[in-house]
Amino acid sequence: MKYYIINKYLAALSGLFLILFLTGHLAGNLQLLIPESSGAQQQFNDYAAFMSSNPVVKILSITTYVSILLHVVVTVALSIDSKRKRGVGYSVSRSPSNSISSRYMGVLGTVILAFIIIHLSDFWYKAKFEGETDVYSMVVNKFQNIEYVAIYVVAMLAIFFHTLHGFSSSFQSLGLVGSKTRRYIKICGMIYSLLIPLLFMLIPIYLFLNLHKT
Amino acid sequence: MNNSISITLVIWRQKSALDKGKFKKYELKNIDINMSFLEMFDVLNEGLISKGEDPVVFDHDCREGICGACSMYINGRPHGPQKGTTTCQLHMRQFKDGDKIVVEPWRAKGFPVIKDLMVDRSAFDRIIQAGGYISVNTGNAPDGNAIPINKAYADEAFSAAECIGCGACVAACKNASAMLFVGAKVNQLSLLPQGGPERASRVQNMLTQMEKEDFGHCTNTGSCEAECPKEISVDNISKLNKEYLRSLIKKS
Ligand code: HEM
Ligand code: FES
Repeated sequence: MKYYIINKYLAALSGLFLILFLTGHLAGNLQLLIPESSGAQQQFNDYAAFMSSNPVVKILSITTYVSILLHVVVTVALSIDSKRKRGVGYSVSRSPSNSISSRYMGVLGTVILAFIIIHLSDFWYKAKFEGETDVYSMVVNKFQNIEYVAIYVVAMLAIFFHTLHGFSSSFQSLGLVGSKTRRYIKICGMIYSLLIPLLFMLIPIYLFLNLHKT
Repeated sequence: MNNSISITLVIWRQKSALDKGKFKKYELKNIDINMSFLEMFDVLNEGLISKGEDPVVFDHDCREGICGACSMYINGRPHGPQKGTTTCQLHMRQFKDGDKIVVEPWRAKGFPVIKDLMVDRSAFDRIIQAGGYISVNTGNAPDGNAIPINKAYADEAFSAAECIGCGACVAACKNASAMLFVGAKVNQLSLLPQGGPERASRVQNMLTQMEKEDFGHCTNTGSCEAECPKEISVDNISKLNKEYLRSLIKKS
């Protein structure tokens, strides 16, 4: 492996793009919280149709796929590389660190990757290749299933912990943090992680409890 | 008041770089709590020598916290449990009677064990040789105040220059990364006008050497800063990342 820093720039840039992507994705998904009686089905299906036809969205979605691929390739390569750097391990090791997540980014990332695959094959694949147009009912029906809700909850928790470290870490990797800004970036990362992944997580629970019917 | 304690040491013993090595247990009684950790090791070694056994080899030099030689991984932490201290400045009063203390060498591909607790840290020297210097023409000594330096930069350079190259950052890092060391050494020069002319080549050469020496990458975990006896800040790593980006764009 050569040029760790360049790899880290790529990990950070792709990670930050995915952070932005998640924000947009959530904004769309929050429409699922609209009560069914207020025309949620029509609105969500119109939104889905718009998302799959608009050219700007097309460019953004390609950027998202590229970011995911790039992020995975680069971070997996870095993680495998650093596994070899210790040599003989310590028998006792208990140095403190500034975030527990940072030690488990690879595991958290793997959970997220597995989730992305499940998620795409269940919704994206069906809408795109099986011609499903009533995306709203497809989603709502899926989340009547408790196991499915559990998968989402676990995955969102993984994203929560991943971004808890990843958000501030990417600013550090890009050389954008200093002694004065470190605290604020860390706080922004906490707010982001509490807000975005956890709101994502509420949606399946909300649908499972049939709250959209009330 | 009782000023002495008894402890059990579990120490890594390894005859040579090629030996596999193993832990060995030693019981020590009546250790004065005002001894430094290294003085306690001296007592242990005196005992071993008088019994005709091989003393435990460990690195040390200044014994006043400035040379960075005394590398020991004590109870899972570089230089032991106390914050901001080297092993020579760690005292036995940090331990309790009956404590078991596990002592290991630094573990990193870049720091191979020479014998027992002594590791070869010459990788750091080679990183410095790759760019951790400024070139000055010989002749009269230049006037120290001839080049004005912004106080904020001077202070930052000074904090970075506190790094004693002990290797605790590498030892503590989960990736055995030397980014804190390299960051401190790059910044102490690049922040100052004297370091200006070689700025771009310095950061590139030092980073290339760092990777050649088999140190890992930085996951921004922050154990390095927590364990650094000189409390060098991870801001130096952020600056190093920026400095490298700069070097790709600007050549000096
Ligand atoms: C929702 C999707 C994801 C987001 C928002 C995200 C975000 C981030 C961010 C911002 C970082 C910090 C980069 C840095 O330290 O400079 C990061 C690091 C990391 N990510 Fe992701 N990531 C995502 C998915 C994944 C996936 C699918 C993997 C699968 C392998 C992964 C593995 C990693 C690893 C291993 C690191 C640590 C890299 C290192 O410091 O060596 N991430 N991620
Ligand atoms: S012996 Fe010099 S720092 Fe400890």
